Amino acid sequence: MESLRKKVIDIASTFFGKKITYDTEMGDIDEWDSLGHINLFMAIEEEFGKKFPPDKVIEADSIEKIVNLLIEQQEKDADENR
Amino acid sequence: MKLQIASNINMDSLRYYLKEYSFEKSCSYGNYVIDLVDKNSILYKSNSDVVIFFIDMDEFNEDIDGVLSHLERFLQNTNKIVILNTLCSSPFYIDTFLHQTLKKEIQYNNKLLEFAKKHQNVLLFDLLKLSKKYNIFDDRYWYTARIKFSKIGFEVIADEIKRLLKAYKYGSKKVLILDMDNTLWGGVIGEDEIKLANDGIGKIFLDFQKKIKKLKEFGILLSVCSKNNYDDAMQGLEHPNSILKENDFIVKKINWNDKVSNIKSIANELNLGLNSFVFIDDSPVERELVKTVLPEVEVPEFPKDIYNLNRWFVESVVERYFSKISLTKEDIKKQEQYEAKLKRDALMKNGIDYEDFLKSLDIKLTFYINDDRFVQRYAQMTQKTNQFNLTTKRYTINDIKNFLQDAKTTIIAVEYKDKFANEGIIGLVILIDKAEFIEIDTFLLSCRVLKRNVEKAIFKKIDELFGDKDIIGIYKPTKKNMQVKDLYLQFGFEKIDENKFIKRR
Repeated sequence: MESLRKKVIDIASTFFGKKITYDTEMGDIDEWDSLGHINLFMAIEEEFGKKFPPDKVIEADSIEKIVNLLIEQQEKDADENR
Repeated sequence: MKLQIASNINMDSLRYYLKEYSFEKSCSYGNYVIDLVDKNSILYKSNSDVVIFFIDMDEFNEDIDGVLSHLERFLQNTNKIVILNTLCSSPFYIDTFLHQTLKKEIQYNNKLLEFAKKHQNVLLFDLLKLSKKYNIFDDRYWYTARIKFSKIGFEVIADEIKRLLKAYKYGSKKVLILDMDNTLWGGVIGEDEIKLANDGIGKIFLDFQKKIKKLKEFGILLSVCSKNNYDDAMQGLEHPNSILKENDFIVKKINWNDKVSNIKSIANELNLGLNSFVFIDDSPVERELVKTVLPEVEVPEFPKDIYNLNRWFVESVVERYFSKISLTKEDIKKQEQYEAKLKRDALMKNGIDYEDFLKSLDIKLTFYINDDRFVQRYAQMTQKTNQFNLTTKRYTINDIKNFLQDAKTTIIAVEYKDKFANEGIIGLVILIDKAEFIEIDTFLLSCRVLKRNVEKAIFKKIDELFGDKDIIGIYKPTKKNMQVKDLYLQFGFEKIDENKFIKRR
């Protein structure tokens, strides 16, 4: 969980070239507009080897929500593998 | 350099992959053709230097000839560089074996190729090639955001654009230096039977040689630097399958000296800076040595798996160091010119008195004043000349065109011919009329014609043109132009301050 948070924050700060924290939301920095959001997700999807439906992507508009989406997905994957 | 995007789809993501550039506001994608036509559009009015005019073929419903003629007018009315892509239909088109899409793709691309060839300010990259190499398409965000490419797609498109701009700005390296054993062929000549054949491992090296030969046709000079007995090495080049022959190499250093001294002496003989060279050697020890002692020489890693040799050469050597936007006549004639220089040097070594030597060359200079036929060459010279260059100001083709339109500016170009070769245009002087005096903004000579009194003739020409005015010359020191620091003093100028000289009338 901690490492997942850190990983998402790392990806986002590298991607936007700005300081990002767990509390950062879309709109807090200029680079993170709707287009930046989609491109950030492309980077996250590549890093985690997962793809999310575009409507989920658009809802997950803060670091916290992105982390939650990833956790949700991990739990789903675990269920399926059971 | 400021970039701007005009496209029929959403290509704005590119700015995340081209972070080193700043971007002007993009055209909205419904409007990209209108913006091309409307002289008050953001495309015209913005401060962008480069417009990435990206056409997605599936969404392209306009008439290609019409768009190209709008683009042509746009190019005439602005100084911007336009980057175009080859058209590439998405792989999910409806293919009924009627091949309409394919036919359109080929037709349109032919037109784009011709258009790019005709216009110096148009740079074209091959999206089709990228689509063959990478999975560039991803339509998941197409429906919500008109985004058509995957992350890797944007990455490779951005890389291609960077490569284009780099090639436009800096041109290419000049010389490829090659090792021989296990580089030009498999095995060690003189010890084994070398591998150079039409099948198996030998075919890898044969194809490699073909690619190297191709590079030579683009005006890149070839040289070998190899630890072999000279006669053995020649046998390798005389091998019936060898594509590369002895005379393909402008300078050959085949001996047992260390490669650093050999590369230095190649640079000396050709009178080129070390940063003009790329060195290929399969031996990690030799590479490390050259890299450490001569950091200006580019030394790409050699592929561990020899089966990757040809792909590696294209991606890691040619694309990285030898990208060229256009071929000038000078590029093609370069080989002959350097050969002529080496012959002249040999003549010198035979011990003739220098003045006699110059006379024996039958030098003929032609001056071109404000001649707009060679703008490409003028820009190229300002970009590439380092040693005999008083101010080292780099100009683009557009800068030069602006100078030519400005009545206060005079451009003198010098063409050089002697009994060995026609070197083409090798000298450039840009003079600016500052009312009370004339300032020499740029004064440069190609290193091919140094020490031939060309500069003397140029000063004479300047006197002819501006005999009644004071002339101010400026010397801006760089790491490379030390040799001209006293040029103005030698030609009768007085020093005003550290780097400023005046010739009073």
